[in-house]
Amino acid sequence: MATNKIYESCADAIADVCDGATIMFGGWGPTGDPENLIRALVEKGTKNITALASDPGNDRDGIIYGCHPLIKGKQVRKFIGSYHAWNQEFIRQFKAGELEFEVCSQGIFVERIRHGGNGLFGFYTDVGAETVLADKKEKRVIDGKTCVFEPPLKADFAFIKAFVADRWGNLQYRYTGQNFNPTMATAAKVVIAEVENIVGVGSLSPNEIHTSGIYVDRIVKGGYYGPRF
Amino acid sequence: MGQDSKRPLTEEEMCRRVAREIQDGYCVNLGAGMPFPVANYIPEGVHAMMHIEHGVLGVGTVAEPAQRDRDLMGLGRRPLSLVPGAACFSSVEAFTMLRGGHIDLSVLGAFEVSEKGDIANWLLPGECPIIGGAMDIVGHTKCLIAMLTHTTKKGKSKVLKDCLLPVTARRVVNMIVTDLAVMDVTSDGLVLREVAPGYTPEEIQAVTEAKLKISVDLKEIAL
Repeated sequence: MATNKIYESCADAIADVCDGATIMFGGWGPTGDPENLIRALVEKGTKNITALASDPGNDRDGIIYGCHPLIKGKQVRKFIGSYHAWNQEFIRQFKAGELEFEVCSQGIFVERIRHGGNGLFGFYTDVGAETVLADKKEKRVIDGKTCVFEPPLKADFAFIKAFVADRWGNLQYRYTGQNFNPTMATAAKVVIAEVENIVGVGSLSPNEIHTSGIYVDRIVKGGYYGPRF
Repeated sequence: MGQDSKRPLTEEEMCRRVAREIQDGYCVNLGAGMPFPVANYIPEGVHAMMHIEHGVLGVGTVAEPAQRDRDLMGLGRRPLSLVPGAACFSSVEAFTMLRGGHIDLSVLGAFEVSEKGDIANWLLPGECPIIGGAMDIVGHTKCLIAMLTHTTKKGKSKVLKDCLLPVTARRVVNMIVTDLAVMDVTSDGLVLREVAPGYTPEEIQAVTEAKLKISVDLKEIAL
Protein backbone atom coordinates (compact mmCIF):
# COMPACT_ATOMS: atom_id res chain seq x y z
CA MET A 1 0.00 0.00 0.00
CA ALA A 2 1.79 3.06 -1.26
CA THR A 3 1.34 6.65 -0.22
CA ASN A 4 -0.39 7.84 2.89
CA LYS A 5 -3.50 9.65 1.74
CA ILE A 6 -4.61 10.83 5.16
CA TYR A 7 -4.42 14.53 5.94
CA GLU A 8 -4.49 15.91 9.45
CA SER A 9 -6.84 18.79 8.69
CA CYS A 10 -9.11 20.08 5.96
CA ALA A 11 -6.84 23.14 5.66
CA ASP A 12 -3.90 20.83 4.86
CA ALA A 13 -5.98 18.80 2.43
CA ILE A 14 -6.93 21.87 0.35
CA ALA A 15 -3.69 23.85 0.76
CA ASP A 16 -2.91 23.82 -2.99
CA VAL A 17 -6.35 24.96 -4.19
CA CYS A 18 -5.60 28.26 -5.89
CA ASP A 19 -7.68 31.16 -7.18
CA GLY A 20 -9.53 30.32 -10.39
CA ALA A 21 -9.74 26.61 -9.63
CA THR A 22 -12.58 24.48 -11.00
CA ILE A 23 -14.04 22.44 -8.16
CA MET A 24 -16.78 19.81 -8.00
CA PHE A 25 -18.76 19.64 -4.78
CA GLY A 26 -20.67 16.47 -3.92
CA GLY A 27 -23.92 16.53 -2.02
CA TRP A 28 -27.47 17.49 -2.72
CA GLY A 29 -29.23 19.82 -0.37
CA PRO A 30 -28.20 19.04 3.16
CA THR A 31 -27.06 15.48 2.43
CA GLY A 32 -23.62 14.28 1.44
CA ASP A 33 -22.06 17.73 1.18
CA PRO A 34 -18.39 18.10 2.19
CA GLU A 35 -19.15 20.77 4.77
CA ASN A 36 -15.80 20.70 6.57
CA LEU A 37 -13.85 21.09 3.31
CA ILE A 38 -16.17 23.93 2.28
CA ARG A 39 -15.60 25.73 5.59
CA ALA A 40 -11.84 25.34 5.10
CA LEU A 41 -12.16 26.87 1.63
CA VAL A 42 -14.06 29.81 3.11
CA GLU A 43 -11.24 30.36 5.60
CA LYS A 44 -8.63 30.06 2.87
CA GLY A 45 -10.50 32.74 0.90
CA THR A 46 -9.92 31.21 -2.55
CA LYS A 47 -11.51 33.43 -5.22
CA ASN A 48 -12.87 33.13 -8.78
CA ILE A 49 -13.92 29.54 -8.27
CA THR A 50 -15.84 27.68 -10.95
CA ALA A 51 -18.10 25.49 -8.83
CA LEU A 52 -19.90 22.38 -10.09
CA ALA A 53 -22.66 21.16 -7.82
CA SER A 54 -26.27 20.08 -7.98
CA ASP A 55 -27.29 23.37 -6.38
CA PRO A 56 -25.73 26.20 -4.38
CA GLY A 57 -27.06 25.03 -1.01
CA ASN A 58 -28.67 27.47 1.34
CA ASP A 59 -28.93 28.93 4.81
CA ARG A 60 -32.38 28.21 6.14
CA ASP A 61 -33.38 28.67 9.74
CA GLY A 62 -29.69 28.61 10.68
CA ILE A 63 -29.10 25.30 8.92
CA ILE A 64 -26.27 25.98 6.51
CA TYR A 65 -25.46 23.46 3.81
CA GLY A 66 -23.84 22.98 0.43
CA CYS A 67 -21.81 25.69 -1.30
CA HIS A 68 -23.79 28.50 0.33
CA PRO A 69 -20.88 29.79 2.47
CA LEU A 70 -18.78 30.17 -0.72
CA ILE A 71 -21.63 31.96 -2.51
CA LYS A 72 -22.16 34.26 0.45
CA GLY A 73 -18.44 35.10 0.51
CA LYS A 74 -18.52 35.82 -3.25
CA GLN A 75 -15.81 33.24 -3.84
CA VAL A 76 -17.63 31.69 -6.80
CA ARG A 77 -17.43 33.33 -10.23
CA LYS A 78 -19.22 30.66 -12.23
CA PHE A 79 -21.65 28.00 -11.11
CA ILE A 80 -22.58 24.91 -13.11
CA GLY A 81 -25.60 23.11 -11.68
CA SER A 82 -29.29 22.36 -12.02
CA TYR A 83 -31.21 24.84 -9.87
CA HIS A 84 -30.88 27.71 -7.44
CA ALA A 85 -32.33 25.91 -4.39
CA TRP A 86 -34.19 29.14 -3.55
CA ASN A 87 -30.90 30.57 -2.33
CA GLN A 88 -31.72 34.29 -2.27
CA GLU A 89 -28.10 35.45 -2.29
CA PHE A 90 -27.35 33.19 -5.27
CA ILE A 91 -30.39 34.54 -7.11
CA ARG A 92 -29.37 38.11 -6.26
CA GLN A 93 -25.82 37.62 -7.57
CA PHE A 94 -27.15 35.95 -10.73
CA LYS A 95 -29.60 38.77 -11.46
CA ALA A 96 -26.94 41.40 -10.74
CA GLY A 97 -24.59 39.73 -13.23
CA GLU A 98 -22.02 39.04 -10.50
CA LEU A 99 -22.27 35.28 -10.94
CA GLU A 100 -22.40 33.25 -14.14
CA PHE A 101 -24.83 30.32 -13.94
CA GLU A 102 -24.62 27.50 -16.48
CA VAL A 103 -27.83 25.60 -15.90
CA CYS A 104 -28.06 21.94 -16.82
CA SER A 105 -30.75 19.36 -16.07
CA GLN A 106 -29.53 17.34 -13.13
CA GLY A 107 -29.33 13.95 -14.84
CA ILE A 108 -27.41 15.45 -17.76
CA PHE A 109 -25.13 17.27 -15.32
CA VAL A 110 -24.13 14.04 -13.59
CA GLU A 111 -23.89 12.12 -16.87
CA ARG A 112 -21.49 14.75 -18.22
CA ILE A 113 -19.37 14.23 -15.11
CA ARG A 114 -19.58 10.47 -15.61
CA HIS A 115 -18.21 10.95 -19.11
CA GLY A 116 -15.51 13.24 -17.76
CA GLY A 117 -14.37 10.50 -15.43
CA ASN A 118 -14.77 7.61 -17.86
CA GLY A 119 -12.56 8.66 -20.72
CA LEU A 120 -15.65 9.35 -22.81
CA PHE A 121 -16.11 12.46 -24.88
CA GLY A 122 -19.76 13.36 -24.45
CA PHE A 123 -23.08 12.09 -25.70
CA TYR A 124 -26.27 12.93 -27.56
CA THR A 125 -29.56 13.30 -25.69
CA ASP A 126 -33.06 14.54 -26.34
CA VAL A 127 -33.11 16.09 -22.85
CA GLY A 128 -33.50 19.82 -23.34
CA ALA A 129 -33.32 19.49 -27.14
CA GLU A 130 -36.54 21.49 -27.59
CA THR A 131 -35.57 24.24 -25.18
CA VAL A 132 -33.73 27.53 -25.56
CA LEU A 133 -30.74 25.79 -23.91
CA ALA A 134 -30.30 23.85 -27.16
CA ASP A 135 -29.91 26.94 -29.32
CA LYS A 136 -26.12 26.89 -29.38
CA LYS A 137 -25.65 23.14 -29.11
CA GLU A 138 -24.68 20.73 -31.86
CA LYS A 139 -27.74 18.76 -33.00
CA ARG A 140 -28.32 15.42 -34.66
CA VAL A 141 -31.44 13.36 -35.36
CA ILE A 142 -31.21 9.87 -33.83
CA ASP A 143 -34.09 7.36 -34.13
CA GLY A 144 -36.27 10.21 -35.37
CA LYS A 145 -35.57 12.37 -32.33
CA THR A 146 -33.69 15.63 -32.34
CA CYS A 147 -30.81 15.32 -29.90
CA VAL A 148 -28.18 17.72 -28.65
CA PHE A 149 -24.55 17.01 -27.91
CA GLU A 150 -23.48 17.32 -24.28
CA PRO A 151 -19.74 17.55 -23.64
CA PRO A 152 -18.01 15.96 -20.62
CA LEU A 153 -17.30 17.85 -17.41
CA LYS A 154 -14.02 17.63 -15.51
CA ALA A 155 -12.45 19.63 -12.70
CA ASP A 156 -9.18 20.42 -10.99
CA PHE A 157 -10.53 19.23 -7.67
CA ALA A 158 -13.48 17.23 -6.39
CA PHE A 159 -14.56 17.76 -2.80
CA ILE A 160 -16.64 14.78 -1.82
CA LYS A 161 -18.17 13.38 1.34
CA ALA A 162 -18.47 9.74 2.39
CA PHE A 163 -19.44 8.06 5.64
CA VAL A 164 -16.37 5.91 6.03
CA ALA A 165 -13.01 5.50 4.30
CA ASP A 166 -10.29 2.96 4.79
CA ARG A 167 -6.76 4.27 4.82
CA TRP A 168 -6.33 3.56 1.12
CA GLY A 169 -9.38 5.61 0.19
CA ASN A 170 -12.05 3.01 -0.42
CA LEU A 171 -15.31 4.78 0.40
CA GLN A 172 -18.72 3.86 1.64
CA TYR A 173 -21.77 6.16 1.66
CA ARG A 174 -25.06 5.98 3.51
CA TYR A 175 -28.54 6.26 1.95
CA THR A 176 -28.99 9.52 -0.01
CA GLY A 177 -25.50 10.63 1.03
CA GLN A 178 -24.24 8.98 -2.14
CA ASN A 179 -25.83 11.26 -4.76
CA PHE A 180 -23.13 12.96 -6.90
CA ASN A 181 -20.15 11.92 -4.78
CA PRO A 182 -19.10 8.63 -6.43
CA THR A 183 -19.35 10.15 -9.92
CA MET A 184 -17.41 13.29 -9.02
CA ALA A 185 -14.75 11.05 -7.47
CA THR A 186 -13.84 9.89 -10.98
CA ALA A 187 -13.70 13.22 -12.79
CA ALA A 188 -11.17 15.53 -11.11
CA LYS A 189 -7.38 15.71 -11.10
CA VAL A 190 -7.31 15.76 -7.31
CA VAL A 191 -10.08 14.07 -5.33
CA ILE A 192 -10.39 15.01 -1.68
CA ALA A 193 -12.76 12.90 0.42
CA GLU A 194 -14.08 14.16 3.70
CA VAL A 195 -15.33 11.28 5.85
CA GLU A 196 -16.85 10.73 9.26
CA ASN A 197 -14.73 7.69 10.05
CA ILE A 198 -11.41 6.26 8.92
CA VAL A 199 -10.75 2.54 9.34
CA GLY A 200 -7.83 0.27 8.59
CA VAL A 201 -7.29 -1.26 5.17
CA GLY A 202 -9.18 -4.54 5.06
CA SER A 203 -11.81 -3.41 7.55
CA LEU A 204 -14.45 -2.75 4.90
CA SER A 205 -16.04 -5.70 3.18
CA PRO A 206 -15.12 -5.69 -0.52
CA ASN A 207 -18.84 -6.22 -1.14
CA GLU A 208 -19.72 -2.92 0.48
CA ILE A 209 -17.32 -0.47 -1.12
CA HIS A 210 -19.04 2.13 -3.33
CA THR A 211 -15.99 4.09 -4.50
CA SER A 212 -12.66 2.37 -4.99
CA GLY A 213 -9.60 4.02 -3.46
CA ILE A 214 -8.10 4.21 -6.95
CA TYR A 215 -10.03 7.47 -7.44
CA VAL A 216 -9.28 9.05 -4.08
CA ASP A 217 -6.14 11.14 -3.56
CA ARG A 218 -6.69 12.62 -0.12
CA ILE A 219 -8.72 11.62 2.90
CA VAL A 220 -9.57 13.84 5.84
CA LYS A 221 -11.78 13.26 8.82
CA GLY A 222 -14.45 15.95 9.14
CA GLY A 223 -14.23 17.68 12.49
CA TYR A 224 -17.76 19.01 12.86
CA TYR A 225 -21.11 18.13 11.39
CA GLY A 226 -23.69 20.86 11.84
CA PRO A 227 -27.39 20.38 12.52
CA ARG A 228 -29.52 19.31 9.57
CA PHE A 229 -33.00 19.30 11.06
CA MET B 1 -76.02 20.90 -8.22
CA GLY B 2 -76.54 24.15 -6.32
CA GLN B 3 -74.16 27.11 -6.36
CA ASP B 4 -73.07 26.34 -2.78
CA SER B 5 -71.24 23.22 -3.78
CA LYS B 6 -69.58 24.78 -6.84
CA ARG B 7 -65.90 25.35 -6.15
CA PRO B 8 -62.41 24.61 -7.42
CA LEU B 9 -60.45 21.75 -5.86
CA THR B 10 -58.03 22.43 -3.05
CA GLU B 11 -54.41 21.33 -3.55
CA GLU B 12 -55.07 18.37 -1.27
CA GLU B 13 -58.05 17.33 -3.39
CA MET B 14 -55.94 17.64 -6.53
CA CYS B 15 -53.35 15.36 -4.91
CA ARG B 16 -56.07 12.86 -4.01
CA ARG B 17 -57.30 12.85 -7.60
CA VAL B 18 -53.79 12.35 -9.00
CA ALA B 19 -53.12 9.56 -6.49
CA ARG B 20 -55.98 7.55 -8.00
CA GLU B 21 -53.92 7.21 -11.19
CA ILE B 22 -51.31 5.18 -9.29
CA GLN B 23 -51.79 1.48 -9.89
CA ASP B 24 -50.61 -1.48 -7.89
CA GLY B 25 -46.98 -2.25 -8.65
CA TYR B 26 -46.16 1.16 -10.12
CA CYS B 27 -42.84 2.94 -9.63
CA VAL B 28 -43.65 6.65 -9.31
CA ASN B 29 -41.65 9.89 -9.27
CA LEU B 30 -43.25 12.99 -7.74
CA GLY B 31 -41.96 16.47 -8.44
CA ALA B 32 -41.27 19.14 -5.87
CA GLY B 33 -44.03 21.51 -4.82
CA MET B 34 -47.63 20.72 -5.62
CA PRO B 35 -47.19 17.01 -6.57
CA PHE B 36 -45.08 16.02 -3.56
CA PRO B 37 -47.97 15.21 -1.15
CA VAL B 38 -49.61 12.85 -3.69
CA ALA B 39 -47.82 9.98 -1.92
CA ASN B 40 -49.99 10.59 1.16
CA TYR B 41 -53.18 9.73 -0.74
CA ILE B 42 -52.35 6.50 -2.54
CA PRO B 43 -55.52 4.37 -2.32
CA GLU B 44 -55.50 1.54 0.18
CA GLY B 45 -54.38 -1.78 -1.24
CA VAL B 46 -52.24 -0.12 -3.92
CA HIS B 47 -48.55 -0.81 -3.38
CA ALA B 48 -46.31 1.58 -5.27
CA MET B 49 -42.57 2.22 -4.98
CA MET B 50 -41.83 5.92 -4.77
CA HIS B 51 -38.68 7.15 -6.49
CA ILE B 52 -36.69 10.30 -5.81
CA GLU B 53 -33.73 11.65 -7.73
CA HIS B 54 -31.79 11.86 -4.48
CA GLY B 55 -31.20 8.17 -4.97
CA VAL B 56 -34.00 6.11 -3.45
CA LEU B 57 -36.60 3.74 -4.84
CA GLY B 58 -38.94 2.91 -1.99
CA VAL B 59 -39.41 6.19 -0.12
CA GLY B 60 -41.82 5.99 2.81
CA THR B 61 -43.42 8.72 4.84
CA VAL B 62 -41.61 11.73 6.29
CA ALA B 63 -39.48 10.35 9.14
CA GLU B 64 -40.61 10.77 12.74
CA PRO B 65 -38.23 12.95 14.81
CA ALA B 66 -36.67 9.93 16.54
CA GLN B 67 -35.97 8.23 13.19
CA ARG B 68 -34.43 11.21 11.41
CA ASP B 69 -31.13 10.51 9.68
CA ARG B 70 -28.91 13.23 8.21
CA ASP B 71 -28.01 10.88 5.37
CA LEU B 72 -31.60 10.20 4.39
CA MET B 73 -33.29 13.33 3.15
CA GLY B 74 -35.32 14.34 0.14
CA LEU B 75 -36.95 17.33 -1.48
CA GLY B 76 -37.23 20.41 0.67
CA ARG B 77 -34.87 18.96 3.32
CA ARG B 78 -37.52 16.42 4.35
CA PRO B 79 -36.15 13.61 6.52
CA LEU B 80 -37.31 10.41 4.87
CA SER B 81 -38.16 6.89 5.88
CA LEU B 82 -37.81 3.82 3.68
CA VAL B 83 -40.28 1.03 2.95
CA PRO B 84 -39.25 -2.64 2.99
CA GLY B 85 -37.52 -3.43 -0.29
CA ALA B 86 -36.16 0.09 -0.74
CA ALA B 87 -32.84 0.59 -2.47
CA CYS B 88 -30.41 3.52 -2.33
CA PHE B 89 -28.10 4.45 -5.17
CA SER B 90 -26.17 7.26 -6.83
CA SER B 91 -27.56 10.09 -8.99
CA VAL B 92 -26.36 8.32 -12.14
CA GLU B 93 -28.53 5.31 -11.26
CA ALA B 94 -31.45 7.51 -10.18
CA PHE B 95 -31.49 9.14 -13.62
CA THR B 96 -30.98 5.86 -15.43
CA MET B 97 -34.30 4.81 -13.92
CA LEU B 98 -35.95 8.04 -15.09
CA ARG B 99 -34.46 8.62 -18.53
CA GLY B 100 -34.31 4.92 -19.29
CA GLY B 101 -38.09 4.66 -19.18
CA HIS B 102 -38.23 2.45 -16.09
CA ILE B 103 -40.57 4.68 -14.08
CA ASP B 104 -44.30 4.10 -14.69
CA LEU B 105 -45.64 7.50 -13.72
CA SER B 106 -44.26 10.93 -12.96
CA VAL B 107 -46.15 13.97 -11.72
CA LEU B 108 -44.73 17.44 -12.23
CA GLY B 109 -45.86 20.94 -11.43
CA ALA B 110 -46.03 23.35 -14.37
CA PHE B 111 -46.34 27.05 -15.18
CA GLU B 112 -48.18 26.27 -18.41
CA VAL B 113 -49.24 23.31 -20.53
CA SER B 114 -50.47 23.17 -24.11
CA GLU B 115 -53.13 21.15 -25.91
CA LYS B 116 -50.32 19.27 -27.68
CA GLY B 117 -48.80 18.15 -24.38
CA ASP B 118 -46.04 20.75 -24.22
CA ILE B 119 -44.96 21.74 -20.73
CA ALA B 120 -43.22 24.87 -19.42
CA ASN B 121 -41.87 24.57 -15.90
CA TRP B 122 -38.30 25.85 -15.70
CA LEU B 123 -37.89 29.47 -16.81
CA LEU B 124 -39.80 32.65 -16.04
CA PRO B 125 -38.76 35.87 -17.80
CA GLY B 126 -36.04 37.67 -15.87
CA GLU B 127 -35.86 34.97 -13.22
CA CYS B 128 -33.08 32.57 -12.27
CA PRO B 129 -33.66 29.22 -14.04
CA ILE B 130 -34.79 26.18 -12.06
CA ILE B 131 -34.58 22.79 -13.73
CA GLY B 132 -33.58 20.24 -11.11
CA GLY B 133 -34.22 16.93 -12.81
CA ALA B 134 -37.44 17.93 -14.59
CA MET B 135 -35.95 18.05 -18.07
CA ASP B 136 -34.64 14.50 -17.69
CA ILE B 137 -38.04 13.30 -16.52
CA VAL B 138 -40.35 14.75 -19.17
CA GLY B 139 -40.75 12.51 -22.16
CA HIS B 140 -38.99 9.56 -20.54
CA THR B 141 -41.36 8.12 -17.96
CA LYS B 142 -44.18 5.91 -19.23
CA CYS B 143 -46.82 8.47 -18.21
CA LEU B 144 -46.54 12.14 -17.26
CA ILE B 145 -49.21 14.04 -15.34
CA ALA B 146 -48.93 17.83 -15.17
CA MET B 147 -50.49 19.40 -12.09
CA LEU B 148 -51.26 23.10 -11.93
CA THR B 149 -53.94 25.65 -11.18
CA HIS B 150 -56.17 26.13 -14.20
CA THR B 151 -55.64 29.90 -14.40
CA THR B 152 -53.26 32.54 -13.07
CA LYS B 153 -54.37 34.62 -10.10
CA LYS B 154 -55.58 37.19 -12.63
CA GLY B 155 -57.73 34.55 -14.32
CA LYS B 156 -55.60 33.89 -17.42
CA SER B 157 -55.66 30.35 -18.76
CA LYS B 158 -52.57 28.24 -18.12
CA VAL B 159 -53.96 25.51 -20.41
CA LEU B 160 -53.08 26.94 -23.79
CA LYS B 161 -52.97 26.29 -27.53
CA ASP B 162 -49.24 26.98 -27.33
CA CYS B 163 -47.10 27.70 -24.28
CA LEU B 164 -46.07 31.34 -24.00
CA LEU B 165 -43.17 30.61 -21.65
CA PRO B 166 -40.03 28.74 -22.75
CA VAL B 167 -40.93 25.04 -22.90
CA THR B 168 -39.24 22.22 -21.00
CA ALA B 169 -40.26 19.72 -23.70
CA ARG B 170 -42.95 19.26 -26.35
CA ARG B 171 -45.65 16.58 -26.70
CA VAL B 172 -44.79 14.84 -23.43
CA VAL B 173 -47.76 15.40 -21.09
CA ASN B 174 -50.35 12.59 -21.04
CA MET B 175 -52.80 14.00 -18.53
CA ILE B 176 -53.49 17.38 -16.93
CA VAL B 177 -55.01 17.78 -13.48
CA THR B 178 -56.02 21.29 -12.42
CA ASP B 179 -58.22 22.71 -9.69
CA LEU B 180 -61.07 22.79 -12.24
CA ALA B 181 -60.63 19.81 -14.52
CA VAL B 182 -59.03 16.52 -15.49
CA MET B 183 -57.99 16.40 -19.14
CA ASP B 184 -56.33 13.80 -21.34
CA VAL B 185 -53.87 14.87 -24.00
CA THR B 186 -54.74 12.93 -27.16
CA SER B 187 -53.66 13.10 -30.78
CA ASP B 188 -57.00 14.88 -31.30
CA GLY B 189 -56.24 17.52 -28.67
CA LEU B 190 -57.47 17.89 -25.13
CA VAL B 191 -60.33 15.75 -23.92
CA LEU B 192 -62.18 17.05 -20.86
CA ARG B 193 -62.89 14.00 -18.72
CA GLU B 194 -63.84 15.41 -15.36
CA VAL B 195 -64.90 18.77 -13.98
CA ALA B 196 -64.73 20.27 -10.49
CA PRO B 197 -67.97 20.03 -8.47
CA GLY B 198 -70.74 22.19 -9.85
CA TYR B 199 -68.97 23.31 -13.04
CA THR B 200 -70.34 22.80 -16.52
CA PRO B 201 -68.01 21.97 -19.43
CA GLU B 202 -68.94 25.34 -20.96
CA GLU B 203 -67.68 27.12 -17.84
CA ILE B 204 -64.40 25.19 -18.00
CA GLN B 205 -64.01 26.02 -21.71
CA ALA B 206 -64.64 29.70 -20.93
CA VAL B 207 -61.47 29.84 -18.76
CA THR B 208 -59.41 27.58 -21.05
CA GLU B 209 -57.59 28.99 -24.07
CA ALA B 210 -57.09 25.54 -25.60
CA LYS B 211 -60.08 23.97 -27.33
CA LEU B 212 -61.60 21.18 -25.25
CA LYS B 213 -63.37 18.10 -26.55
CA ILE B 214 -65.96 16.88 -24.11
CA SER B 215 -65.66 13.21 -23.17
CA VAL B 216 -68.83 11.17 -23.64
CA ASP B 217 -68.18 9.89 -20.10
CA LEU B 218 -67.80 13.36 -18.61
CA LYS B 219 -68.25 13.37 -14.85
CA GLU B 220 -67.58 15.35 -11.75
CA ILE B 221 -64.25 14.79 -10.01
CA ALA B 222 -65.06 12.41 -7.17
CA LEU B 223 -63.80 13.86 -3.89
